[in-house]
This record gives sequence, structure tokens and C-alpha cells, in this order.
Amino acid sequence: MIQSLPDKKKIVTFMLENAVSVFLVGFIIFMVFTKRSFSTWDNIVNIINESSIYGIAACAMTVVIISGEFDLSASSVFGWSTVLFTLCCNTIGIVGAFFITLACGALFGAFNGYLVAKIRIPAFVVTLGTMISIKGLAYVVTKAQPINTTNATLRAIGNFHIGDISIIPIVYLAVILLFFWFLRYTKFGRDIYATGGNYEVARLSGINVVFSKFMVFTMLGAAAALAGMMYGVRIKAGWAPYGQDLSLYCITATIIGGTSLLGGNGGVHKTVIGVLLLAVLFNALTLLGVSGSMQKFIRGLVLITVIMLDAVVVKRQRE
Amino acid sequence: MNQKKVIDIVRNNGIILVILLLIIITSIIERNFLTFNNLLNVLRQVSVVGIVACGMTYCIIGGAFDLSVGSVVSLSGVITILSINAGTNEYMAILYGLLAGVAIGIVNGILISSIDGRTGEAFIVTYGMQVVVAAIALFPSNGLFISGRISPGFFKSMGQGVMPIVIFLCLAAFMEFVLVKTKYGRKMVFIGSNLHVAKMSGINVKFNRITFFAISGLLASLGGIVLCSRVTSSNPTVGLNFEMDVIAAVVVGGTQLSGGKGSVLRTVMGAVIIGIMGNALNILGITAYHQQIVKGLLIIVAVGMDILNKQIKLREMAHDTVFAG
Repeated sequence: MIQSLPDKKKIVTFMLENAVSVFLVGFIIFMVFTKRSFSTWDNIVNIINESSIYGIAACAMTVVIISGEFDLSASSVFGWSTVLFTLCCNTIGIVGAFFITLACGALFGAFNGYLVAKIRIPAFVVTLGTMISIKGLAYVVTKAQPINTTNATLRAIGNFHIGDISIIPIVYLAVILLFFWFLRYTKFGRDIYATGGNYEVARLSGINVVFSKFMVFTMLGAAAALAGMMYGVRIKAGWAPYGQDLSLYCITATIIGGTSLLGGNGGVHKTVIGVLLLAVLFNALTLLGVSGSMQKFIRGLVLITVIMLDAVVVKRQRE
Repeated sequence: MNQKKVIDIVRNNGIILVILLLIIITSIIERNFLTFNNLLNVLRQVSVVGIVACGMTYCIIGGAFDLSVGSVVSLSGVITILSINAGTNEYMAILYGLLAGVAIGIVNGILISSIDGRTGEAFIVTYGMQVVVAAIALFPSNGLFISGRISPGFFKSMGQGVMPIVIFLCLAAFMEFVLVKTKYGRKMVFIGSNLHVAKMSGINVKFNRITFFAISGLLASLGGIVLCSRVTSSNPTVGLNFEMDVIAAVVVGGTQLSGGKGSVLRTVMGAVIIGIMGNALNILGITAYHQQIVKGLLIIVAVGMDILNKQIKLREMAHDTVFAG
């Protein structure tokens, strides 16, 4: 009897931790049996291709959340990158465009990182401010118009397929492996866990916490830029409002995967599952004919639910 | 010593001084800028942002944050206009709009206070709420613009002439009074500066925090209704990015985002100064998108200066103790 009490508590905690994932898996099984078009090969390929673009940014967002922060400006960096990438493709060619866009994204990230890590302004203020500013910049440069590209190389890359899989999931896979290795097997990766777990203890034990926080934001900037470029490759255009829901999506996917908003635990492999679950959910909703505003409603609701569950679990563990 | 005082003033009011400089330059370039009519016009424009910012100030002083206000502005407008179009009494229609705002505020408050959330958690939860409420505002008209069938009356007068300014300033004066002179206001400052100590000293923290969010929701919906009355129609996406203007007004006014310190009157000043700045930039021919860049950086600089000032003060205090001891 005495033994069984903590076990019961553990089970409840486990249920709370994974409630959303369990619900989503149940939903997927329900869809497989009720909707024929859901479990076809074409749709599965579609889901993989769709989830890969945001997944690239979600991996980096996970690293930021592990370090105990979060970033809202990723969505604007994404939109700005589609614009810059297309503009540069039209003028200086795709190789130059790739490196300029990547560097620009990293620069925006570094700006966030410097203000958060060094000046110690709260991350939500900094990233809220840069979110508005970078979006404004993208609107100013394009005069709010979408830009098309006729770059032949870009088109060739966009149409390149191995089997049914385009180049984007391959890039996504590379990003996952890179972040997984980096977080688990490098000293710097472990430093990020320590920084997010207990900032003061990490600092006192000689970890360069300022540099860790600075770098996670820089990496997210670069990853959001990479994701933006992949989007540009897919639809061969750039526009400022693209990717507006990116930050929301990334934060939700990370927490559904099981990385706590508190920081210090979790991992990229978990986020991959979170991204996949969300992608399947929205694909299924589209197949069921749910309208755009209803999907938006559900998206917000899922975020609130996972944050609340995460917070409740943390509170229970503390007690 | 005098020189030090001047440096202190510059440090504490840096942004306001820069904007004053902008105002002086604009008034030299454009004669019509500093006229009574133009200033009245600016005041009318900022009154909606100001009303919402007063509620946000309460929320922030109480140690939380409300990102959902923009969507509440949209939703309350939609509800009020739809009710009036359906033939409801205009007072009831306004009440429905206000109730929607209070309800959303209470939900925010219950969610956040039940997890003892501080600014960070409140930020993300209300971010989710922002998306949810924005979607709800889209449902009735499928995202389309709704024109109101409004006959002259109380509702129509709310947004005309000097009424928005009167509502805004009276409200701000009342809220400042409550903040400074009542038990409730003092509790708010206490909770915002230290949640746990406030809890241990026997304050009903949960209930009080829910009321902060409810007030924020109430004023956001009031702002939405005034806005609707001014344009006699409602647009379900009118509140998009509205929270940015509101936050800018609060932080430029000087309310600390970490909670426990701030004032409604300073928020009024922040809202007016930002309104004048926008007007000046318009006169100088700077587009709305350029202004967006400025506004984002303004939020960062306002908070950054505040934090740097605090660090400098700490250093000076340490310096003084070393040399005194």
C-alpha cells in the first residue's frame, strides 16, 4: 500500500505529461480507419514534405527552450529570409543568395542573443521587438508585394526528387542529426543543458553561460533562415507574411514532444515527434474539411493545453 | 553634483528626450504640427490604444502580461456591431461586448494563476489565447468586414468628437487613484513585486490576479467598442498587432515589465508621446512599415535603458559602500 502510492502519482504524472501525444495518436488511429485518403502513400509523402520546413526551425527552437528562453522573432526571420533569398537569387545567383540569407538570419539571431545574454533584457521583450521590426523591414523592402523568381537552378532544386521525397526532408534530416549530435556529444551542447537547468549554478561552475545563451539565439536565427530558404525553394517566391505562425508552431511542437518550457531537459529527437504529430493533426483537419479559422482556433487551443499540462507536471514534480 | 543630476535625468528619460527632439524638429519643418487642432486629433487617435494600455498597466504591475488584448479588441467590436445589427438595445449590445472581454480576461487569469505563472508563462498562455480569440472573432462573418446599422444614440456618441478622449482621461485618472490610494492598488504592487511573500502575508493572490486580467480584458473590449463606434463598423482583424502599440505605450511610459512598479499616468504619457511621434513621422513622410521598424526597436530600447540604468545604479551603490566603509 505504501509502495503503491508513489507509483500511482508517477502514473498520473506520466499521463499528464503525455496526454496530448496520447490523444493525437488516438486521433491518428481514428483517422486511418475512417478516412481512406488519409493513409495513402501520397498523403504520407505530403505530410513529410510539409512538416520538414517548420521542423528545421523547430529543432533550433528546442535548443533555445532547453537553454531556458524562447524566441518569437523566428517567424519574422523566416518571412524576411524568403524575401531576401528570392531577391538575391534574381540578382547574384543561388550560391551567393544562400550564404547571404544564412548570414543575415544568424546576424538577427545574434542581435537577439546579445541583448538577452549580455544586456539581460527578458527574451520576450527582445524577440517581440525584433519580430515587429524584422517584419516591418521585409514589408519595406518588398513594398508588401510578393516576389517571384525565375532562377533556373532554384527551379531545378525545387523539382529535384528522390523517389517521391523532395530535397527539403533531406535537409531536415541533416539538421536533426546535426543538432542531435551537437546536444548530446559535444561539451558545448551539455553546457546548454546546464545553463537552462540552473543558470546560477552553471555560471559558478565555470560554464560560459553568456556565450551559451548568445549562441542558441544565433543558431535559431540561422535555422529560421534555412527554413525560409527551403520554403522559397518549394514555392519559388518570397513574401513578408510567409511563416507568420512559425514561432507558435515551433514552441507547440517542442512542448508536445516533451521538452519543458522551464529549460534544462528534453531533446531534438522529441521535437521531431512533436512536429510530426502536429503536421498529421493539421493534415487530418484539412482532409476533414475544417475551415481555416477553425484550424487557427485549434492551433491556439493546443498551445494553451500543452503549456498548462507542462506547468502542472513541473508543479507536481516539485511537490 | 549638478552635473550628475543632469546625467541622471537624461539617463532616466532618454527616450522621451529623443522624441521631444523629434517633435521640435517636426514643428520647425511643418507649421501645422503644433496646432491645437492637430494635437486634439492625435489625442483622439491615441485614446483607444490608451484605454487598452491602462488595463495592460494593471496587468504588468501585478507581475503578469496580457498578449491577448489585440484579439479582444477585434472580438468585442464584432459582438457589439452584430448585436446592434440584430436589433438589440444599444446598451445591451455594449454590455455583451464588455462581458466577452471580461470572460476572456477571467479565463486568462484562472489559467495563469492556477500554475503560479510569472511574466514568461503569462506571455505564452496569453499568446495562445490571442490566436484562439482572433479565430473566434473570424467565425461570425467568415473574416469579412461588417458594416453597422447604427442610429444616432449613446453608442454612436462614444467614438465621436472629444468623447474618446474624455473616456480615456477619466478612466486613467480613476485607475491611477485606485492604484495609489486604495488597498486593492497596494495589493497589486505587492503581488507584482513578490508573489510568494504576498501569498504568505495572507493576500488572496489567486483572486487578485484573476481580477487584473479581468480588468485588462474589460478595458480591451471597451477600447474595441470605442474604436467600432468611431468607424461605425467592425473589422474582425482590426486588433491585429494592436498589442504592440499598447506594450510600447506602457514601456515608454516607464512601467517595469518585471512587475511591482509603474503608474497609469505614465502610461498615458507614453501613449500620447507615441501618438505624437507617429503623427510627426507621418508628416515627415515616413511610411507605416518604416514606423513598424521604429516601434519594435523602441520597445527594446525602452526596456533595455531601464535595465542598464538599474545595473549602473547597483554598481554605484556598491561603489559608495566600498568607499564609505
